[in-house]
Amino acid sequence: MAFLEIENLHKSFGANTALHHFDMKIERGEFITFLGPSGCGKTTVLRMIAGFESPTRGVIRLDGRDVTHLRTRQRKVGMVFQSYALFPNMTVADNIGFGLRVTRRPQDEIRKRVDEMLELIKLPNIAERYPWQLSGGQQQRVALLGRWPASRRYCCSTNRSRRSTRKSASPCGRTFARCSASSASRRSS
Amino acid sequence: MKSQSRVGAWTAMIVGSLYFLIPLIATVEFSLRMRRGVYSFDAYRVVLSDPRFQASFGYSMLMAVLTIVIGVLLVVPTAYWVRLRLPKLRPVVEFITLLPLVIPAIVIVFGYLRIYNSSSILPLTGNERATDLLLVFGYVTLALPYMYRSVDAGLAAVDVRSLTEAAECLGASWPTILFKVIFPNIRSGILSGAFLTFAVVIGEFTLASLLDRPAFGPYLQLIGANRAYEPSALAIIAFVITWASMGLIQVFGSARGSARTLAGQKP
Repeated sequence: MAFLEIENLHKSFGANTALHHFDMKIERGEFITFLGPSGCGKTTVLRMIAGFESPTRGVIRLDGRDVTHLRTRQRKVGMVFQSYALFPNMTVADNIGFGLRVTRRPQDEIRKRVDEMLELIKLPNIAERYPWQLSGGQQQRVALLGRWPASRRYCCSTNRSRRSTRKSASPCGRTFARCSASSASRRSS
Repeated sequence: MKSQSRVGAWTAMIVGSLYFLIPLIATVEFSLRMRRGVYSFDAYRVVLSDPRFQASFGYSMLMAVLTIVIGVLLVVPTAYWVRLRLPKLRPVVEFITLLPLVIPAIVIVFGYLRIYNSSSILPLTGNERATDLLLVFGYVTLALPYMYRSVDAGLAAVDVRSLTEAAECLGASWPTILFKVIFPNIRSGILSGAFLTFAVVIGEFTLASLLDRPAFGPYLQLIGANRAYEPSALAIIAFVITWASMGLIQVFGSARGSARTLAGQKP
């Protein structure tokens, strides 16, 4: 069975149909990209997977479990926002560790995990900086990590690259790939 | 043409400044003349060493702090929720929060006395602690327009929706989102609301007087009616307190502003 299954998903906002009959199956570890004109429902699908919108019709199954009407915080789906949505009042380390802190993990585990994460994106010296002290690319990578704590099972990103050159798009993809490799090895060990 | 308009602006500035400064300087001057023939701070010494001043000022400070705590806990979640989930209700909520500016405090206090008098179902005016509570609630109402506006301006400056959703998908509960994410990010808004509330409560007369509580406002009135030099000294002290509050708003507001400018410089 596929890890994420979406069946016959519909979403309308009032009279506007945002999404009409959407089916998808994704296996564990797959890297999927949505491509399409603006307004075709890419973000709407992601928001429904994360649980910010509820579908008008259709079913979303995650790991064999129907999550269609489950609340966001019970789904454990990470999401990177287009605006990054880093918490401005917290340092990079606190931003990355936030997901672990709200699930009440022990302090040293959080610290270890945050260090690992920063090592992964090769930016170990920015831990004590605030989001506004980072460059755009650094913010992007921190946002990706911050939504990728150990307990997350899946990560969606609405992060369309505004500068659509391959050069700027690829670091994000590489980070993504490295993160998934790291979580996969974590699961198998 | 240009110099002409500048002359006009300067004239307006000078006339305006004189309008505000002359009475103020006259008050300061008068408050220093308690001792015949020389300037002295006698009036201030008398005021500051009066136990009733200390008691009433302490009482009003305490009431102000309680008002701020209750006001923040009431207004922040409300404004947050309205912004996030009920944007259509915003004009209605804004109108309601402006009502205390339109309805005089004396109307509110007579309403209180009718509803909560000692022969009513909820006799809050029956004992002193309950009356204090009623007074704090009244102050929260009076300060509502200032508190709501400050907090709402703070919320407008951050991307409330994205931050909430980001925290939510990481598994944070509503109290965690409110206290760990929303409160720290609108700190300057809350602080300016708090200082404005403080200034309102310290100088308030109507509610405290008609509920017969020993607050600073009624004390100010009592001294004003019975003494010559002390009221001027008290007025200056009250001004200084208000200015200090406004200065603190500026300090916290600009600290926040400089952080944002730096953020704006980064692409």
